[in-house]
Amino acid sequence: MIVLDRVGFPLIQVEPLGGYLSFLPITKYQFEYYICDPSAGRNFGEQWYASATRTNRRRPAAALTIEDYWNAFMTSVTPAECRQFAEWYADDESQLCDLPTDNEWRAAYEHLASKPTIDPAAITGLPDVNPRARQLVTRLTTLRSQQPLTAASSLAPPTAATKEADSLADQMLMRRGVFEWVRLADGWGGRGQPPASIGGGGIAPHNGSPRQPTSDENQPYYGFRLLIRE
Amino acid sequence: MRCPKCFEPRIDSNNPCCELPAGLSEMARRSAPIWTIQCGYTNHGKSEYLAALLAVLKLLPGRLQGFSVAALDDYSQQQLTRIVDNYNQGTLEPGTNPGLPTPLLLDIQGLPLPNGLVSRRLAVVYDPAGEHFLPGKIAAVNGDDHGAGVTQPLLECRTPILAFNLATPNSSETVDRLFETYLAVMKQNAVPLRNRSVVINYTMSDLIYHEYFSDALKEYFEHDALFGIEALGRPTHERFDFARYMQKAEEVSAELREFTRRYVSGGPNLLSLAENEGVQLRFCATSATGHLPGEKAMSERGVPKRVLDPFFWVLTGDAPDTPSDKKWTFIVDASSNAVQLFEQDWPRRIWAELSRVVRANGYFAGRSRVAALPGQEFPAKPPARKNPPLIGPIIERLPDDEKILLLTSGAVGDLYDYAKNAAFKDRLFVVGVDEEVVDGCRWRNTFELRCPEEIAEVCAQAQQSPAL
Repeated sequence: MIVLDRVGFPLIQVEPLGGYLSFLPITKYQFEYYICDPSAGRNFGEQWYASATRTNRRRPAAALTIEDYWNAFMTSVTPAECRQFAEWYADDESQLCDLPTDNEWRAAYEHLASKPTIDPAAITGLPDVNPRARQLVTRLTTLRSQQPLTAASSLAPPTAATKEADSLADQMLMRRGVFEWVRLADGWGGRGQPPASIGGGGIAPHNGSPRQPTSDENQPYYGFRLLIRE
Repeated sequence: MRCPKCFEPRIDSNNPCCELPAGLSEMARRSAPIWTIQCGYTNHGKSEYLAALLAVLKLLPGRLQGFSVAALDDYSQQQLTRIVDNYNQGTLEPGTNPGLPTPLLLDIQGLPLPNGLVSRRLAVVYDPAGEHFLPGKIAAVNGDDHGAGVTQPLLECRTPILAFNLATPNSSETVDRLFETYLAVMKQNAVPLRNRSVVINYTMSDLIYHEYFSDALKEYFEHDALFGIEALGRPTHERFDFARYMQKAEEVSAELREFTRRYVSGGPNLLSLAENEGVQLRFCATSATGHLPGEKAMSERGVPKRVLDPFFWVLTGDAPDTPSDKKWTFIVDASSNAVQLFEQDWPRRIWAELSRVVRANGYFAGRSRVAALPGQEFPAKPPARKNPPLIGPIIERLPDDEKILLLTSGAVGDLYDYAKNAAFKDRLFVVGVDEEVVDGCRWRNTFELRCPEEIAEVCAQAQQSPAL
């Protein structure tokens, strides 16, 4: 089941987690509503945003290509900043909104990797969907139809032997997206599997230990998605 | 700017056209030209009205400090001198040649504006012969008819003056027929009429005012303490309150509208036509001479009555959207790139001009909270905390029919998110004050502003946008 967040971007129900997970990693477009809301509490100003988008540049959804589609997602954010965003992101106080734990992320992945992709119209056809969410989902669908978003998308398309099954988790870019911050018992780690061009080549999205960057700061390929529970 | 003589689409200093003065294109670049044209039948007092207006404008610096009017080319200087001298000597203007009208090119400085500021404008003034306005004489601009000579100026003119002598002996010449001719020209050339303004100038009103005008209207017509001929001879240092003057002119217009409905042949039809087409009519009563002149000369000294009113309406209605319930959103780039914009006070100057023609809410890009409501001043300074210049969180919440004006000093982070979005691409207008910024902007509706008054032009173009 697809629902929309406070700015009209899609969330998908993940039964094993008892809540809704961002359909895609949180995008720059979503984050910008937070930046522009003077009542949001914290000021992510011009310099901060310029720095956050220096490596992972901001691009219109309609202009994304197979080489840079991950530019749509908000990265270079620390887990603390992600949680500040999460506080603002919840529609009301009854909702619990946070980064998923490592276990939650892996459980979601396993569940969604076993599901087939959904018709993008289930999102783009929603009456209140954000126009940029519609554009992004449409664009990603087009890119995926032209060439599978492989771990190394600059290489030739995978052969039949190497080709992996396309799942809902793939459609949600839990693979071939960005590294995603997850909560660990003693800190923060990264899940997901970016394209090879930004360091995701040989990484399995959910197996083994999560990635553990040495610093929370200046991680241009680390983004996040949020889990909302009532 | 189009060439005012041959109407080639663009003139510039590298492409001198029709022996136009060298500085004309530069002047047009700095401030939007005012195209004025009088439409009216033969012997309805158009040329004499223009003579009286020019004579008064020449006297105006005594009342309005800093005001001046000067010809921009030989022809205009020759004509301006001749017309004003003739008027002052009591000689009436001869009938106008029915050929193509040659415009007067005038540099008018120190023009009053409602916000108390003054501006400098290039005025392109046509005085065509009445024969052009007979039914069947107007053509589409690509037609062969000689009427095309006034069609093109009419299309350029934002607020034409329809001059009508109520004492005309010709019963087939009615004010509604004249207006119908104007409507036909615009329709034939596919120009949207809605929200256009037309000034109805009842010329030679000295012949009828005693009998028909109310006492209040008589008083207004007879006594002009500010710009009457006696007053013009007395210099003053008082500041002219243009907004107040036009408020009174608005009341007069309303009374003349009622007069039109009750007494003028074809008047009710004129009002219905205008209402149905969405054209805003402003009514004025003027007299060029103040008395019934002889055939070729005035029998007394010329005492012009209220001849500035149509001209002031042209200035005010230079934008088709006079203050109305049309909603706009004005977004100002407040990023660190925009320091100069604020140093030069562009946001407030544009806001003042925009507020003159539409109702607008103001925002800083990157802040979804309103910065100025209608009737308020736009902040003189940007917020101390700089946000990235983003517009999405502002514009996505707006009603579908609200137009958006974005003043930018450089790249706006999310502008191109909407480049292919049908809901925004035709109703979002980007303006810049820097040529480089404008040239670098790939948004389809991008305009370079040389002065804030040009916002009226942008609004006019926006009204013709296919989005609505």
